[in-house]
Parts: sequence; structure tokens; C-alpha cells
Amino acid sequence: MSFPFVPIDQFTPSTPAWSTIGKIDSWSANTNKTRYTFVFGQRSLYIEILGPQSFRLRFNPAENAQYNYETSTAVINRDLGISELTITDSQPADDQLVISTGTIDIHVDLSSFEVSVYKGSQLIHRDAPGEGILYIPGQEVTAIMKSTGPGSKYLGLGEKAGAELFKNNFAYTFFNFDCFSYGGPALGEPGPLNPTEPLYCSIPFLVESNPQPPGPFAGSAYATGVFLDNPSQSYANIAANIYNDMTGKYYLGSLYNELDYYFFAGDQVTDILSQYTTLTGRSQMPPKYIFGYQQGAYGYFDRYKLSIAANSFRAARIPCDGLHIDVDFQDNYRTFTHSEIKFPNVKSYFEELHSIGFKMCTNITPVITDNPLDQSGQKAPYEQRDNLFAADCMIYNTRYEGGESADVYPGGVNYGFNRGNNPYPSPPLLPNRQGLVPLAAPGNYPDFGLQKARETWGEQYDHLINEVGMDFIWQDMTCPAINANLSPANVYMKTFPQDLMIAQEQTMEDGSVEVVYHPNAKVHNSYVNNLLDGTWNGINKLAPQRRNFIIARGGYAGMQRYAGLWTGDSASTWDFLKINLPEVLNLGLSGVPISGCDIGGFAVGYGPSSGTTSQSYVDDGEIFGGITNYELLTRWMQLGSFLPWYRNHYDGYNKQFQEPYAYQEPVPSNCRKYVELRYRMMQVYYDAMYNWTQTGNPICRPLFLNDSNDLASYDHANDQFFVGGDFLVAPIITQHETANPPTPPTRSVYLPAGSNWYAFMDNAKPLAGSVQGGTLINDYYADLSQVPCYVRAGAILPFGEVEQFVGQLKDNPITLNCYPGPDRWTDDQAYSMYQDDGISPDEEGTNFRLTKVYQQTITDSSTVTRNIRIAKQTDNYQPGANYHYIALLGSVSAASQVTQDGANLPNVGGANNLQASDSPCWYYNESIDIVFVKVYDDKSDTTISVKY
Amino acid sequence: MKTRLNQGATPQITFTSDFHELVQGDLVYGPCKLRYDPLRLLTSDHRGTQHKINAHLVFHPSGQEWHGEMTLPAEAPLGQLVDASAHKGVMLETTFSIPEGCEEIEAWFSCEHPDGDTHWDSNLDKNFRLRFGLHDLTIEKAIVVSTKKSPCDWLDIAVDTSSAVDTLSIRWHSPSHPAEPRHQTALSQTTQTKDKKSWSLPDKQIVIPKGATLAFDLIYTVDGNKFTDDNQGRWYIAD
Repeated sequence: MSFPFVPIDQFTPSTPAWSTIGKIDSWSANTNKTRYTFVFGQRSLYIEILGPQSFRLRFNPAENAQYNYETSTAVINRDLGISELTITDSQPADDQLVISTGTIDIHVDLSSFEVSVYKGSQLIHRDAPGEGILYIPGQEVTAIMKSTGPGSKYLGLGEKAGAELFKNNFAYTFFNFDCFSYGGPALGEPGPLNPTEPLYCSIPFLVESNPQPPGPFAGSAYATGVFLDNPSQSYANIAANIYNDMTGKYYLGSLYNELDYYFFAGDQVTDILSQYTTLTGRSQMPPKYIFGYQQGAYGYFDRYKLSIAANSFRAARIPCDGLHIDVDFQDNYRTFTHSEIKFPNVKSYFEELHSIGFKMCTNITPVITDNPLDQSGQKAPYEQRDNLFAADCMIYNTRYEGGESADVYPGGVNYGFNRGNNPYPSPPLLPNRQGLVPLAAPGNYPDFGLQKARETWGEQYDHLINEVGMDFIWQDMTCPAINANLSPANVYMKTFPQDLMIAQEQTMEDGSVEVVYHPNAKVHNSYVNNLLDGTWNGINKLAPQRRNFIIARGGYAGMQRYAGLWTGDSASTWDFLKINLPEVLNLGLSGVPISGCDIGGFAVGYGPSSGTTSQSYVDDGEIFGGITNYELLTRWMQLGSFLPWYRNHYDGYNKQFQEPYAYQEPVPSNCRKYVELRYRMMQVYYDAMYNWTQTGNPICRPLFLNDSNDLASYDHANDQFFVGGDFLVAPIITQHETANPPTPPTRSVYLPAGSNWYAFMDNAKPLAGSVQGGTLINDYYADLSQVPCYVRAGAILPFGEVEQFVGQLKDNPITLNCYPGPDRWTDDQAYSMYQDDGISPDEEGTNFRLTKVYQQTITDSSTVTRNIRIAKQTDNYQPGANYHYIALLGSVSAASQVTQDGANLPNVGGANNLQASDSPCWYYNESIDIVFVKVYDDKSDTTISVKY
Repeated sequence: MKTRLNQGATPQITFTSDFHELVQGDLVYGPCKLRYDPLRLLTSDHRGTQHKINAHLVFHPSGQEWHGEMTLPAEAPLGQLVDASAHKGVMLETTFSIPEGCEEIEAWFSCEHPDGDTHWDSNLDKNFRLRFGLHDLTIEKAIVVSTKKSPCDWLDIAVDTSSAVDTLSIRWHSPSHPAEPRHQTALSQTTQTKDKKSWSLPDKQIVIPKGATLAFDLIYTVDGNKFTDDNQGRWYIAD
């Protein structure tokens, strides 16, 4: 039996070979009415209520299937509010069952098994009439065919290419794939603009937003979500007519395993995200430094190369936290090792880098090389390999129905070529006739489906964490990516052969765990989650005194519990810049709060939108050329500064440089400006992250997520977004200055209705007049030093001082920027500011300070009073600075009086005096129309009143 | 006997843009994937245009022929087909069947250009000759011998080959002494039967410094044509 990759247009539910469920013979409910089982012929399925607005449907197309085990690596909590629920059912007609949670009614047509969901009398979700669950008898191929809501927008689906945020009218496949430069198997011409390619991460979670439903769905705005939990190759088609007429329909489906899907309902998308991230889990707060700027290169191959980067960032005063060293760090591509030749005295070297604020990260790929030689060409022990083999947890070369193999599976990774720029040997290979040395790690792979493998794998980080001083982990090649040039017996679609047998744990109803083996085709997409689980638990055991972090290339649903995601091997093209935002926003709408693209492009660009200015060449052991166009780099650095994961990373074997300091002015200055803004806005990102840990609401949000009542906000989804709730960014992501011919760097900016907006002046200029929401600003001119940004009237935004790295300043007081506008005087409206030390673990969730900040404006006949209330909700952490500043923007005159809880505060007349004062005080900066107030945080609840 | 990578594995033959011809896997009769980098016959000037590249094979000793078109994988963008800025073309692929009894494959390629000209990739009209080292050679032993008395170590190697092999040499270097050049040393035939020849070296013909490692591949000739077995591109490491 073979298990081929099936292209999107060959997965064809509703063609004659497929069956529907048809008439239900009988149904039954368990005693508390949480599970309804439906029997037809020799088959059965069940619906399980999980909460007031969610259910699970599970269907195994095999006859007499048992549902007595769970295998998901995505789901960790199926209690979405079930404990407080009273479920009722009724049968208004012989062929109709209605299950009511009190919030939604689930209608099951027993004559055809079609499921509809109502909220009150409003239809919000239904199976496509005459279709619903589809399957091919005798196989495991299944799909659910649903009706699209008229006017609905579809979102999510994790990491997908394409320049559009909405998923409507495209088809997708999920098969974790090493899609270098996104040149993967696509329907039509491949490339970053084509969303049909499988990428590194698979999250078959579809979100629907219908702000104004008409027709049969008429009623109030609603949102739904469908999560198909299946680690085999899966599909989604949102009304895309690729093999037949899909108008008005969408499906999700898979090639193997059961049909196992989760449905969520809500009034808006945030309700769906809350439920999905409860189901699949949220992480605790990551270390704060991961929101700092990161710089990586494949090509920082020794301490001298790395030191040049580190010192240059500090010399150029471009803030930077993370330095990412690729597999160059290793001893002859032995995972978990370091090269003492290339990085001598590494521990003390890393301590030096730590002392100037850098955090170190390196690439860990799941391959364990079988090359017996170390970097010196000697046969040398490889301790980590020995440990994994001793634990007997490697993948054997056993194939489906092929009998057990006593040999481990021989795979390996291709790391490209050393073109003569890297002077270090990689024995036993020598340069070929063209002077190229293939860089590769042939070897074997742990079977992470085994608990023992995950545990043993995790222990192998000991050297890096405890002896080297590595701060966090970059988990690469997670598909896993296998050298495409291996014998076809050992590689398929650049990953494991589909028939290679892989372990999977089944948790039985009594809690016991049984291990079964499946061909890779059935469990492929979950390999990465098991890998991440092993790494995450391993590094947390090895470094329990700190928060750890993984940035991963790839994942499956639920990966957010362990890691952030970078979107793989991008290339230096304008197309890749164009897709960066919708890709990251949709990841946020798929439960992954921390994601970003390799800024500038990892690989050299090609094709019409290429931003690679010349081919590279090697001369005297150095790479020349391959440089990314300065305009592209600048625009990408600007966009990236507002996205959760901010890393510039490039292929230094084919590019001369890509660090912003290495360009001529004004590139460093233009980049520095936005890196610095990132650091001054660090608290905003941190607060948004904390908000995600509580709600599942992403850090970076499409306009409609914050302003769902404004239908026009849906029309500006691809190139504008919010950081948190109130900071709107409209980056320039198109080529102008270096276009042929050059064009003015302009774009339109839409400001959502329902609020007024201030152009972001960064407290360098007075606020201009507010712009009414609903305005479309045409031809906003933003040269390479500018990114159009707006702030919602009434916003409260906490900013800090510039640091060269997170935590550089012992005292970094927060300035609470209070924009004039509507009151935020209720708990729901108030801004939540979360502070902790940024690094200590806090499993109990107690060692932090959570402050609510309120503002209100009272106008009477003679005075205007602006009140700012600062109330600590939780106060178990003391920041370095025991005071903060309040900046009342839009103060067109000096205050006549400033009080704190009724007591007058003195006007100290200037910034220096304000800074030096050891008691509360204020001053007015006339040049920027801001009243600054200094407030000490010695009160749990205090109100500052500024009268004009 | 030394364990060798891909013994018994399905074969694959790759013609790379840097004019290497890689034979991977074992001589297994049946399907064999053939991959061809179009940059061998096309240049960046041909970017975005479709050219028909045909493969021509003759299986020896039967003389049976196979001809077929090299096709673009579904996932490959035409624009990248011969994009030199990407440093390589997109591998064209096809699958043919190795017939029973085949010992050697002769191959060449043709490309029809729109102007009617046909360009050839045929090893300067000699055609490429491809054999499977895993089938032709068995490494009985390859051991670095070390004795207390000797100031150097030396290689003890024994290889069995098919009787068709005319000459056999070892190309070796010491990875632990990268400054030392690579050498090639001919092995001597020791015995011959109807189906097999045995080859070895006199003691201490290949000497290396004490404790050094030795990596090697094997060069052999059949009917005057030269073939290489480099352990699927990884070199062999002497035990």
C-alpha cells in the first residue's frame, strides 16, 4: 500500500465515490446528556457537548469502530464550560433531534444526518444540504461539507502563503513541508502569493466571521470556528471551484484517521479564539526578551563572525536582544554539540555576550548524525547519540506491512554548500570539482511518539543549557526536513517516507497509555508537536529557574503551548514582504500569538519581485553580493518592528550581509528608529501577550477584530493592523524608491469608524487634530523614514525608555500616554498593564503586578478636568522604577491645577526637574502640548486630576 | 563485511547542474527515478520558456532501449526552471524501469529548442555510463591496523568485485590530517572465479599517521569506462 501526497484538486468530496451518512437507525445519550451516539448500519458517530457554545463530532468510518481512546497532540482540555451546563434534548419530529445547551441549539436531521446550529431562532451554522459528513467506504478518507454563511469572511488556517487575509475562494492542504522559498507543490504557479502550497506548519482551524448575516442566516453578527483535529494530510476548500461547483460551500477533510472536529460559536471572533485556545492550550508568559529584536545568520560560523555582529549592533546603537547561530555552531553537524574550534571557551564567550545584553540561541534539528567523525576528522564519541540509542527510542526502518526492521531509518539533512567562504572542515568530505563542499548531516531520528524518546531528547540539551549557556532554542527542520537527494526509498516530499512506521500514544479511557505504530502518512503533522514537547519539557527541567523559549519552524495545532513560529525559508522578494502580514495575522487567529517572518528574506530572491540586487560570488574566502535591496530591507524592518516575532535572519552562504548596520546611511538610521520604537513600546507588546494568556486574543490583530461593528474595516484586512487594541499600523510594503521608474511612497490608510484617530507623533510634536473614524486617507506619503501609524482617541499606551536590550536600564519608568478622547472609566474599558521581571517562571501566576489604568474627561462651563486612575489589581512585583509618568497628550494649555487624590501637586517647570523630583509633581511641555505628571507607585489605587 | 548505505534500496540517478552524475541506491530491477537539472542544457536566457528535454537510455548487456521526456514536477514553478540566480534549476524527473539482467546503463539527453536545433548532453558524444557500486563491489574489510611497534598505522583492505571489473583503486585521504593531499592507490587482484574477483593491497602500502582516520572511495573500470563508488556521496570511513 502506498500513501501518496494527494494534490488539492484530487481530494474531491462529493464526487460519486463518496458516501453520506444517510438515515440514522438509532441514537442514544449518556446519562448527563453530554454525549449523543448515532448508529447507522454497522457504523456509529457521536456528538459531545464541550461547553455552552461548542461541541465535538467524531466519526470513524470503519464498521464497529470503538471510541475508547484519544491520540491528539493538539487538544489538552475538552472542558469548555461543560461542568456548569444543563443540556436538554427534544425530538420535535421523528427525524429531528434538538440538543440544547441553553446558548445554542444543535439540530440533527436523523434522516440524513445533517447538523445545523441555531442561536435562539437564528441559524448560524449548517452542513451543506444533502452532504454533511462525507466518506469513502472501506477507506479512511473523510470530509465535512458545510454551507458558507452569506457574506461570511473566513480566517485562520494557520501558516499559509498568499497576500490576502481572508480564506474565501481558495483551497488549502496541510502537510508539514519544507517549502524552501515557498516553491512547493501548488495548484497553479507556486510562489509566496499562492496559498495552496503546504507549508511547515499545519493548523486546520477555520474561523468564520459574519458581521451582517443576510438570508437564511439573518440576525445579529456571529462567528464560528471549526477545528479538524487530524495529523494526516488534510484539506480545506472555502468555496473554491477547483474540481466542481463549491459555490456556497466549504469543507475540511483528511486522507486518514477518524473525522474528529470541534465546533465553536460566538458573537465575535474573539469568542472563538478563547474557546479554541482553551481547547488546545495557552502558554504562560514567555521571557520578555523574545519581544526584542533578534538577529540570525546561517554563516555566523565562528566567534569572530558572531562578535562582529554583536559589537556592530552595540556600536551602531541598534537595539538587539537575540543572536541566533545556525548549525555552524555544532561540531561537524552533531546536534546538541558545540564546536570548540569555532567557538573556543564558549561558556566564557557567551558570558561576555550576556554581559552586554545578548541572549544566545542555536538551531536544533531532530537529526542525529551517524557520521563517526568529529570536526577534527577523528572518530570521536557522540554522547547524545549514544544516549538516544541506549534509550532505544530511534525510528527503525520498519515499513508498513513490511515486517520489523532491525536497522534504524537512515535519513539526513542537507544544509546546502560551503562555497569556500567557511574555512572550517566538515570531514570526511572535501571540496568537489567546483570547490563546493556539501554540508550535510546524514543520520537517524528519534521516535517522538514515545514518551521515552521525548524525555531522553529533552535531557540532551544539558550541554547547551548548562555547560554552554544557551538561552533559548531554535527548533528547525521539524517536518522533519529530509535531504531531497537521498535515495527515494528514504525520502518522500522532503520528509520521511510515507510508509515509515512511527509511534503514536493512545490514551485509553482508564488513563493508561498504549503505543501503536502507524505509517508516517497517518501521523505526519504531529511529529513536530511531539518534538516540541520533548524539547520544551527538557529545557524546563534543565533550567527551571528561568522562563524558556522555543522558536520553531513548523508545528501543528496546539504548538503555541511550546513555541513561537517563524514562517520558514522566505526569500528576498517584495512578494514575501507582501504576505508577511496576512500570514502572521492569520497565525494569531489560529491560536499562535508569537510569529514572524525572517526579515529581509532568508534566501536570495528570484523572479519578478526579487529584491536581491546581484548574484553572490566567493572571492578569497569571502561572500560578495547577494545583497537585499535597501528599500526592501528597510520596509521589512519597519513592518517587523510591529509584529510579535522580530527577527532578521539570512543565508550568509549566499548573501554578503543583511544586518541593518551593514548598509550605508540612511538605512541604519531608518531601521534604528523603528527598532527603538519597538523597545519603547515593549510594554504594549507585553501587555498584549498577557492578554493572550488570559483570552486567546492575538497580539497583532486585523482591524475588524477590534472594530467589528465597522463593516468597512473588513475591506482593509491585508495591509493594516493593530498592535493590541489601539495602535494602528499601516506599513508601506510596496516598492517605490527603487522601482523602475520610481514612484511616490504613498498608500491609503483606513481609520475604522466608531472612534476618532490621532496620527502617531511619538510625543515629538503636538497632536494634530483627530481624524474621524471611517475616513479613508488617500496618498499618505511615507518616505523610508516613516511608517503611517494612528492611535485611537482615548487610548492609553504605556511606553518605556529606549534600551539596547531588554532589561538594560535598572530603572525604566513607564510613561502612560493618555490620548484625549472618550472615557475609559469602567473596568472593561480600562487599560491593563502587566509587569513582572520578564524572566522568572511564575507557574502559580502570582508574581506580577497588574495595573488598571482609567481615564475620564469632565467638562463644565469653565474647566476641563482629565482624571487618570491607576489601580493595582495584583501587586506581587515591584518594578525597578517605583514611579511612572503620565503624559496627557492634547493639552493645548498648561494645567491650572494638578492633584493626586485631592492633594495639590507642584509644577516643577521642566523635564529635568520632573525627573529629579522624589515626590509627585508635574510640568507642561508647551512645544508638544503635553502635561507630564510624575506619580510614585506607593498607593494601590490613586487618581490624578488635571484641571485646565 | 563493511555495512554500506542504501544496500538494496530503490535506485535513483541524478544529473546535476555542476556536471556530476550521481548513482544512488542499489541495482534493483524495476522502477528507477531519473533526475536531470535543466541547467546542463539551458541557460537563464531560457527562463520562463518551456523546452522539451528527452532522456535516452540503453541497458547493457541486452541493448534494450528506453526513451522518454523529462518532466517538470507538479510543484515546480516554470519561472525557476533555469533561474541561475537560484544557483540551480528545478530537477526534471521521470521514472523508467531497469530490466532484468541489466548491469550497466548508458545515457544521454537531448533538448529540442524552438529554432529546431537539438542540443545534446552526451559526455562529448561518448554517452554517460552508469553502474551501481553496491552491486559491483563488496568491501570485505577496510581496517586501519595499528601496532605498538609500528610508527605508523596502515590500511588493510579487501574488496570483491564482479568479474566485469577490470581495475580497482582506492582514493583516500585522512580527515584528521586535512592538510595532507588526497591519494589514489591501485588495488591488486588476488583471485578470480567465474563470477568474482578479489582485490587487496600489500601490508603497509597505505600508511597514515598513528591514530589517524582514513576516508576513501573506490574507482573502478569496466570495459575502459571509469566508475566511482563514494558511499552515496558520503565516503567510506575505514574501521
